[in-house]
Amino acid sequence: MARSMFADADAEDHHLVALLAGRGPKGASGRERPHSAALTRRLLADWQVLPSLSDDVADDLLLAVLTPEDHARLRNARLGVAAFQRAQVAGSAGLLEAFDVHGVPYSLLKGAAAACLLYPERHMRGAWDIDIGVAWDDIGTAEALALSSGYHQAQRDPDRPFFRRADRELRAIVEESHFELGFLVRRLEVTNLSDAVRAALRDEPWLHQFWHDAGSVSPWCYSVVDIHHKVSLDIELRGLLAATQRVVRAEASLSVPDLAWFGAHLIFKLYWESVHKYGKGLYQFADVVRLAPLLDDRIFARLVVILENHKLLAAGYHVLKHVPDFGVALPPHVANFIADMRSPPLDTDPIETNDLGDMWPKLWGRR
Amino acid sequence: MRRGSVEGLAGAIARALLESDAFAGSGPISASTGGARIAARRGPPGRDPAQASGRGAGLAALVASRIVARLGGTNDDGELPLDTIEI
Repeated sequence: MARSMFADADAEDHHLVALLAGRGPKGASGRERPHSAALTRRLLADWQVLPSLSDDVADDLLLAVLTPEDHARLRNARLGVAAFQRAQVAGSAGLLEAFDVHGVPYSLLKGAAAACLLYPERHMRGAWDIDIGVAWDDIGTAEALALSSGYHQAQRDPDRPFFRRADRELRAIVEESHFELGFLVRRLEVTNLSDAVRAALRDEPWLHQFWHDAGSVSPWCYSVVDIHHKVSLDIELRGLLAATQRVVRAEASLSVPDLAWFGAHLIFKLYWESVHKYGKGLYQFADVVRLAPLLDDRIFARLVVILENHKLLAAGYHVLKHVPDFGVALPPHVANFIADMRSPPLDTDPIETNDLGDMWPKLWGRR
Repeated sequence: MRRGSVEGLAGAIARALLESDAFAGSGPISASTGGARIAARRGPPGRDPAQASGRGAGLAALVASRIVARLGGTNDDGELPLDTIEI
């Protein structure tokens, strides 16, 4: 199965799969670097994985498959994204402490949870924002704590990459019927950027979507938190919040979902987003391939129950069956699940079971 | 399964903008909601996206809230204050 998935793949696809799985690309091929531009474009599109690349990979192994110019771009991009992520972590630290001080149960979600659960350091998993889940009854307190921790109600400028103070009436209309607060945003000047990072920000225009005044002596970025009271309109947060665990990262105690709920949320998000759009969400496989080996039989049994309760078994099948494509072995019980799910249950309807087919080609921008 | 997730003014805003290309472009918003945009536009096959049940409905709602964040310009009282931090 894995080989057929790559039957029409280009070399940059193989390189990207290796990089997502935390390995280096194979195949220094002389002076020619025919796939350099394509691989660079794909890595920048999946920028969330850049900080996870080891120094060996970023500094040496990538040089074998990229032109010097593209290699320099990616080295700069990696530095700038990693610094941006460090700023997100530092910027949100006070808010997360405030939740604990005021007794507000919460859970980091999505990329913020993956950063804690799957990567050696939190800044190694990129994300635009910090997603946090709280109970509906705590949503007012959570927002108040965010505001007292330096965040502002904000909305995005329609024409430029800036946030402005939010239109409260418009914001209220939407929040009334949806499952998350609007943007809560801080503007942060990082005062101790290294010379290397400052040079990267100055030299790589792609980074200017993250960093503003990047060529000045005082670059700054936004820190954004999204506070959710549901996983989606259809999936309550109650079960996830009841199954949180504490992890300690860089001396900070943080609340994150257990691996079963984290995995179910990851599968839901990866599958549903990617099945609906070409070329989006591949970076989330970097999380999936790091999670899969951690799914012991007990955790995986719980994950399957969560998927079944939310009609996401097909999503689980379509996502998990691709883990071996990344050179990562599935635990036997996960492999058995894949085998069992290969045929849909009798008399079931694809739409009713949220089975929109394999998202794999779409992840690569193909039919 | 809940229905009618994108309703009223918020839904109208979402649908109007989804039908235009106002959501196009690069940057944090489109990068984090591109899939949701398509989910909202299409939904599960054969269904009105705004009335879709299943996961698509939730993502359509996500679009609506993010789109409001892109409207901007209605209360432009300046830049957010700048805080300093060390990382």
